[in-house]
Amino acid sequence: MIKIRLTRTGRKKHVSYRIVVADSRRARDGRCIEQIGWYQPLNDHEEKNYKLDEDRALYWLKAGAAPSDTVRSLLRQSGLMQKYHDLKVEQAKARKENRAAKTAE
Amino acid sequence: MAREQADPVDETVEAARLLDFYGAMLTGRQREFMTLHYCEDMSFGEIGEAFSVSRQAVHDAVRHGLAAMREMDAQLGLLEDFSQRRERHIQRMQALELLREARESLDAQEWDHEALKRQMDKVIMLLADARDTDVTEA
Repeated sequence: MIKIRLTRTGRKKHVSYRIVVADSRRARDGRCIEQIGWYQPLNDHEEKNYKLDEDRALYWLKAGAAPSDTVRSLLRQSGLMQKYHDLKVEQAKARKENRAAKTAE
Repeated sequence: MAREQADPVDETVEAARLLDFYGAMLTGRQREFMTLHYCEDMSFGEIGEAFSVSRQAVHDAVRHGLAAMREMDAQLGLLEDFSQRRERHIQRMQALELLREARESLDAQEWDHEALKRQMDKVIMLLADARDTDVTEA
């Protein structure tokens, strides 16, 4: 299963994370498929403490990658979960209309 | 309970920080499970599978480990102490940066008396602030 998760970087006592796409079985050897952003929780002197490549994140979500709880929370904060949800609703609507049009024929 | 409804990101960051300070005091198993859960973001289920133990066993080890570290921190307060020291360090670094800028403006001979004065005031404020926190702690 493909997962979007955080992976710890940074030195001792300076917590920071990368947001990566990885195979869930590969978590322990640290190999990841792609890095799509970072999160620096202690960086409270900057305006934004995380960076996310939204296009890639959306691509992986559409491909069926499951975000971990923590990443899901970050995606929600960035508004990407809402975007993904709207996209799915739109697609479902289009499918429904398609089906209705087909049965009407 | 409020703790259980806390944002998972906040809990992860808190636990990862606690692990840096108190991780060495945990049992090997607790430390390993907690590192995988909070540093590699693996779910309890995934960890359980990797170690051939139940999801519940991983959950218990992580919960007990976290409780133990919170208890240690309540007694020792290393995390808060470190945060304050870090804050003071940042203030001093900012002051240093302001001094460098002021020095460069002198070199470039584009200094404006008033602006320089304001800059110096900022430096003094930052350093005094950092010193006051030091003094109250001592």
